[in-house]
Amino acid sequence: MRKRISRGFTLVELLVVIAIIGILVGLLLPAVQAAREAARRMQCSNNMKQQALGVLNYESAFKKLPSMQAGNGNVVQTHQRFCMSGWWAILPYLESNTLFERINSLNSGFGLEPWNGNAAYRTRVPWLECPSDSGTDEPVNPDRNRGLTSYAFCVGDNMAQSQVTPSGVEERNSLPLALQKLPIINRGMFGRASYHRLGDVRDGLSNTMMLGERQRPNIVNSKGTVALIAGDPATYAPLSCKAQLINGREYINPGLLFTGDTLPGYRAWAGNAYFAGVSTILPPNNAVCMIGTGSVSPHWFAGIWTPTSEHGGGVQIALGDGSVRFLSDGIDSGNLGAIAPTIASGQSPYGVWGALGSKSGGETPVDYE
Amino acid sequence: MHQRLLLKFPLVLLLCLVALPSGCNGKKLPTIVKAEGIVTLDGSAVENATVSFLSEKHPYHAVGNTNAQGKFVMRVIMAEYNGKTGALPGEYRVEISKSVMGDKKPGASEDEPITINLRNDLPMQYASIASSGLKVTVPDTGTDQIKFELTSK
Repeated sequence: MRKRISRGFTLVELLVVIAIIGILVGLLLPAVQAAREAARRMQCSNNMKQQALGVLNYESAFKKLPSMQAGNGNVVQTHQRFCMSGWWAILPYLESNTLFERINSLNSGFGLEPWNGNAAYRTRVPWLECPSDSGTDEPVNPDRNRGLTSYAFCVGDNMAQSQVTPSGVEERNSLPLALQKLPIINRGMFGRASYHRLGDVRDGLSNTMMLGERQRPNIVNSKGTVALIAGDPATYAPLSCKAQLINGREYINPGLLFTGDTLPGYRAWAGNAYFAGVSTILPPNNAVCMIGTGSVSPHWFAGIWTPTSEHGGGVQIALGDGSVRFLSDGIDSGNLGAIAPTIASGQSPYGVWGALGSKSGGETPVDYE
Repeated sequence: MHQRLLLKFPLVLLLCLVALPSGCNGKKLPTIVKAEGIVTLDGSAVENATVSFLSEKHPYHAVGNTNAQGKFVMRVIMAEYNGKTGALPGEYRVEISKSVMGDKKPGASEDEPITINLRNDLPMQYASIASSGLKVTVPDTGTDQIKFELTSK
């Protein structure tokens, strides 16, 4: 005589099983997400390693480092001359000679419509895209998409600009080529029409930053976009730029973000510091600012080109010796109330971070990891 | 009896789940107090100016924008405060500017860059802590009586 025959699970048993499964999934999901980001980051650092090798291969061929902003000037005057990026220069050294030749052969040298009209300038190369940055279309002006990038050349701890003439004059429109080609030398390894020798990196290749990340923003008001500041770069303290980003994600004056033209990261082949430069003034993942006044296209302004990324807690950088490191947001950045140094100044006021960027500041190497 | 034990089991698990996220909230942020005031230029209120309180002693800088009455409410910039209003008590150097983006001129062709006319509608000296000469001390009890009376000379 049996009282009952068990024919399945009771409600309670089912609940227990569901609860256990729920907990396991709850524990696992964040781990899976973290693993995915870790994989993206690894790919991202691998790209940077390739770029660093490309830069050093270029150096082997020419005995000089490439310039961040250069070209041959074969463009009609009212267009953007002499502003090809260093990425273009190292193409042949990263097995992308075809694209290099294609860009060069377009419309006699650099083309009448170098940016918008040409398919070659819209070409994307995989080693310039960090998988952590998801944007593929420029959020404000999708028609102004050119090649994509997430990386930039280190300009050091001064306010790097892309034209010699101070604000107010459109150098690319109104000056002859000889003046447009005048070098802009920065405290970092790269500048405009300045091809440094490895020997110029007197702080040592292992102590000097070569490349850094500039994330490609996929929404307008985010840390990767650039705040416009009506001011004078010669008296502007980086602290003021830092105060522009209010909660680590958004700017205090969304109306003053530079959205008129292409956002950073969406024009890989342009060499303006706005697109292709990264400074070591504000520590990683702070505000990016450009400073100037007057009626110009502001992406030629001087600025604080802070590195940003989606990795959380820091950015990746490549050093002059070709090694890639992860750098924490918390790196010592000295006195951010100090005015940015000029080329002739000695040691950087911006602590370990500034020292890392300057190629011959004379700072003693410090452990930053 | 047996059944009751089984019932308790999922309940305990549920409690664990709820308790998990509230595990480590050890770090305490410094207390912030009310920091509000007004900006005037030659006696009249300035709208849309950005006021920055910059400290050389700690990283808790604060910023605020003025409204039509020239009134600003400061907020600490650190992400941990999540945009909460207020500032840390203490002394700050202050800078005030009003960046204005003038007419946007699209390029002649699509290829030409867009030109804007960027200017500062307040005297330039106030835009930088290097030249503004402005200072403020936020008292421990907070204040809404801060006054910056700028002159255009």
